[in-house]
Amino acid sequence: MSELLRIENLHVSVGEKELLHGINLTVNSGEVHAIMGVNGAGKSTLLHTIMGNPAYTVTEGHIFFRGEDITDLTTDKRARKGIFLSFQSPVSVAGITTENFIRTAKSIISGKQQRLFPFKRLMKQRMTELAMDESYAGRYLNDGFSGGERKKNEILQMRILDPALAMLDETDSGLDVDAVRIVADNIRKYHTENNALIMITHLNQLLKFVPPDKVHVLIGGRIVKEGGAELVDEIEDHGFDAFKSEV
Amino acid sequence: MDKIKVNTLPRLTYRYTHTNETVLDFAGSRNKAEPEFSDMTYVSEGGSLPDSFKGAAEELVQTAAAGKHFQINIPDGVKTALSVRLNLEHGTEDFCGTFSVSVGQGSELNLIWIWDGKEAGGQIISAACYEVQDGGKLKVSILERNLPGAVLADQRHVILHEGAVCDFASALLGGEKVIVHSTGRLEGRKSDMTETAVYAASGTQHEDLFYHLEHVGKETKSHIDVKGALDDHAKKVFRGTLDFKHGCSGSQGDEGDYAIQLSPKARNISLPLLLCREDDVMGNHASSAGQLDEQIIYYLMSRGFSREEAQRMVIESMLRPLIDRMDSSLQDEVLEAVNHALDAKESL
Repeated sequence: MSELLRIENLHVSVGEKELLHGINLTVNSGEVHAIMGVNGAGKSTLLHTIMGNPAYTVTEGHIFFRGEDITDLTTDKRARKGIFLSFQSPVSVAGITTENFIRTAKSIISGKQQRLFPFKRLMKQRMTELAMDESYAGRYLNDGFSGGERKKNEILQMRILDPALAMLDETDSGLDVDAVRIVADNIRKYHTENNALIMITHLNQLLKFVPPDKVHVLIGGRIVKEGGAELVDEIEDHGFDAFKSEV
Repeated sequence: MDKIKVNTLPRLTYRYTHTNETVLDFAGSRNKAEPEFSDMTYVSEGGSLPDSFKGAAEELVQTAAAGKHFQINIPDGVKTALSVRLNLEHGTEDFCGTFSVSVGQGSELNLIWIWDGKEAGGQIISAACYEVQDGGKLKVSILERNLPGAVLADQRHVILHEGAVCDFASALLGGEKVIVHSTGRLEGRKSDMTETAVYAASGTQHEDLFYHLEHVGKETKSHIDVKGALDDHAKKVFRGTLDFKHGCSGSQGDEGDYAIQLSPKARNISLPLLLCREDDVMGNHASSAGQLDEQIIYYLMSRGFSREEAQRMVIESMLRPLIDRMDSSLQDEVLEAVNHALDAKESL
């Protein structure tokens, strides 16, 4: 297993307020990581900082991806290196069809122009696997999509763009039980020894289908506990209260 | 060079706002260019505009009237298409001219205007009167592109009779000073008029857009939708008026003006106006101006698009629904012209 992501002593602020206070995290290829914690703990902040959201400022520490310091890279350059974030609230962009958007993104990220018909076939196959109606391909990106459809569209992009590191920010929220199963199935199909996943979830619904190798409990902008999949059961039984004293 | 006042509001507001009209430097015109018609079957030369025609300014109407007058008469029950090209080949060349377009009962005309020219300078000063008879349909797609440094004045008046439908879709992507002055009179019951326009202005380009649609007949409908992007020191003024006259009961109109400001030095002035002398009508107006939504830019960048590509995508996505209203043969050219206009921007 080779190291994919390494975060060292990461401090992140928005304005004067520090949200993350010295995060350390290493993700190797082939691994599934789960980040759990109460609302406002800093989980989404961590993923957006890894993605390079300019709304967040890294005041101290470094982010390494495949050994390269990417702390100062812009979001698009991180995406081109193989980092993907499935958004908690994906935006809609009227005027651009879903198919054109993903095809152009795939061309940019892979560095290879995507030929129309092979791409259409790939898109159709992936949409079938996600139980998505084919008509969504021709619709404007997320425009008029329900919350669940938007989440599936994020997973569709993950599967087609095939990143080295996929970060899923509460992908299971807004999905019904059947949809969670379908999404989980697609996550499993995506995951290989050559890539890695970081998942944020409040619930352990998704984690039952995609068991994590490592679990990190984030509270108050600090990782207060780390362990294996057994930590998920501990959290389900006792909640996060037991960890708050460790902040 | 004289200073003339163009596109004066139909109801004046406070003078200190400096928005009642636009003051334009105007040097008169040297008419040389000729319009090119794709088909002369229904086109003839001669005649003149009605004396009552009011354009952006008296001087601009007189200048247009000094050129040739062309008539396009579509007989009853005919469906046809026509394109007219106003092409300035040399920077010293201008076009001045007037047009009367008549669409007969139950007829349909798909009319395309292309205003183009590569050389710097020149002027196009046009005035046109459109009349659509009962049940007639008029679709007009207008592409203005290139023409660096040019003054472009598109003045038009539309009269719609019972059940007549008129749809203007403009892409204002060329010229230095662009004047649009469109007035519409929805006389016939259930007549329907739409005005949409897209623009992408940079440098010191000035877009001055005036629309005044009068609801006269019962159950008439109007729709104005203007969208575009402003960069550098560009300026856009939108004066849109929906005017519900006494007796137009059951009528409905809406107007919207949406601008993206890519530079803090770009200026956007929006004056949506509703006038009403009838109770049983519905009028809506909206306007917004702002910078690009950073959340959307970030989302697009997270899929590998550079900031510049993401900005273009957001602008194109805003304009696309209006471009889709234009004749399909023009849409690719319009998109290309949008990209060309965005290429000229300093901040992209």
